[in-house]
Amino acid sequence: MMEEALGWAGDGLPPGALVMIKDCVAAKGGFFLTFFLKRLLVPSNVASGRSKVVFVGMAEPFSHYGRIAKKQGCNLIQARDNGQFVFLDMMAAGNHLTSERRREQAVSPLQRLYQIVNESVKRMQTGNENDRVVIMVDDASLLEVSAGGRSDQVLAFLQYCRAINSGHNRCSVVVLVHGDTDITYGAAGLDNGGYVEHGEQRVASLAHELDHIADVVISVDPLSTGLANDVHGQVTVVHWSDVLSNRESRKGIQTLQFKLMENNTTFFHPGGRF
Amino acid sequence: MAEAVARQLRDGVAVGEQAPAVMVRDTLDTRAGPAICDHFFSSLCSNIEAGRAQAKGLVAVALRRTPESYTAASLYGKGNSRRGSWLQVVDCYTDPLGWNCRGVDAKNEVSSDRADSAAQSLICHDISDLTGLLASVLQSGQASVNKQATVQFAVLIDSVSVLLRYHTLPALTSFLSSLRSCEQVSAVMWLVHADLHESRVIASIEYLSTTVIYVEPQLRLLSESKILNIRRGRLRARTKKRNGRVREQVEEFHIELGGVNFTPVILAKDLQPPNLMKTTTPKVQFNLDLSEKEREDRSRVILPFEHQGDGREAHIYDGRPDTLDSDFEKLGINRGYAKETVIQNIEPTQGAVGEIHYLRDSDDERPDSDEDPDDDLDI
Repeated sequence: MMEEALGWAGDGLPPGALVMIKDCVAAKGGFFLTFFLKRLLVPSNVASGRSKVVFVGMAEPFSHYGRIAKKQGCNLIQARDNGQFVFLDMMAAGNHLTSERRREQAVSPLQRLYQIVNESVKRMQTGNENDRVVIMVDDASLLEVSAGGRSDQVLAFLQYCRAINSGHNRCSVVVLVHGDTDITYGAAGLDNGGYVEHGEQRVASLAHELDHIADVVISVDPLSTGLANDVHGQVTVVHWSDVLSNRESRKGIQTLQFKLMENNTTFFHPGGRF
Repeated sequence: MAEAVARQLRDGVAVGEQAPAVMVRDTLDTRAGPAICDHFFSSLCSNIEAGRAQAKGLVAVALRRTPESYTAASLYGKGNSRRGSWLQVVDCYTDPLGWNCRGVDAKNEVSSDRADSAAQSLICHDISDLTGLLASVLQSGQASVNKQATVQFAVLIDSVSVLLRYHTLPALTSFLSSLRSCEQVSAVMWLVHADLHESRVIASIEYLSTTVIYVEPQLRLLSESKILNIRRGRLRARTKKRNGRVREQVEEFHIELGGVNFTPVILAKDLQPPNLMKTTTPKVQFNLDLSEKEREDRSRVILPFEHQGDGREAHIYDGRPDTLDSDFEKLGINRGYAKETVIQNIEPTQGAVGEIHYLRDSDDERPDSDEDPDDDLDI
């Protein structure tokens, strides 16, 4: 169901695409990262070539993702040993962003992180030019924290990631952003479209800027009617460009509801389940 | 109106003036700005290719899109997949902050990266240096016109919003105006995401442009339903003439696979009733309308069921007392031709005329009763 809404056959993301997952406090969108991980690492069609994933984990440790993915039938440890999956643990003490080495080099933290990501991508190259590398970031709001609240650095980082060449293809990026937090100005909220108004002036937040850049925006929201037992939230998929699906086949905007289960996530049309 | 903007870009600069600048501004309500930009970009490209434009070369400053999208991809299926050396790209996408320069293997990457598009793109490694960027743009421009000092070229900046991330407003405006005042620059076009910046920033950039194109949704919708506006909307172009006259035009656009379609907005005052009448008449082979003479003839025809007597209202006796008569009787007036007298009056004068006499059984019976009148017969 979700693949249909995305218009995505599951065989790697198109080169240079930016998929943005926008969630909020009331409905976390982290499960979409697992969704993408599973579809990318365990392709339905082996002939189409496997995708490789570089995961920049800032919100949760590796064991967290490993456990969840395992329940859904995707072994991250095995994929990591195969060289198909690289996890960059930015939570660990003494990681590359906080270590002394960075201060010696006197470069900005996200530049250092970019260099690490770039090295990982280069190391993963096997010489097969059809290989596609996806860089996943969990989450961009924490990147902004590491950059000292400078959203331009985060945007530059994501653009650099999209520009990395692996073989003939550029990398694609899947990024999780919190739509309702804004580090500089407090909760911008979804009510006023993601920007804060200071009198007449508007100051854009990270999520708002990303909205302008992203090819596909997946918004995860709670049900507008309140909490429910069988429906955990709703997802809106907006295709801003034609990278993921061609224009004839898709239906513009799609809203689906979802239910999170222990080993799966089911998507269904609003009201279509019962 | 879209043609007028395309013409402005094509015709370029007049002697002794600054180059015309077209600014496209969009918001998150539509996000159609890039598509509109692409439309003008490809129309300018075809004009340059055909030699109709004043500019003979074109420089695209790639800030938000990959340089390949300008050189290799055919924008909106225009057919020309590989453009000539008249199109140059200043690549500010792959390494805008110089992060790649410090890596060990960066140089190898850059060289392999540039192998296929080396002739057409120039990588800018530091967009925080606007003087350097201006120099790169002019250098690419020189390359696009084969280093002929008298030939002009056009410049496209695909997102000023990206530049505004790194620069203050004064720095940026001086960059844009020095670009416009370059002798070799024929026209400049740029795109701004208006909702990312303060209104005074947008206003200052608008002052620098001769034409501002507002890309707006057709309706002001709530945030949930703004998605309906992805592919269609309204275009408002405000053009400043040299003498200070400002002209504003509105058009609707619809983004399709083959490109952008523009349709003029139909105003309510244009929808006059005669036009509506004409449009409702179906198109048929024969004439549905009547001429004046035909209409006169038609009015003279007497239809057989009309009363053709002395102009009096036809009076059919249904057996019941006439409501009119009873009203008159109450007032003490005799109308003079009550039922019986009508018959008596007619008899002597029109004796030859046949009559039908009908007597009702009782007053209970209704004239058009469905009852069988013979059901009381006992045979």
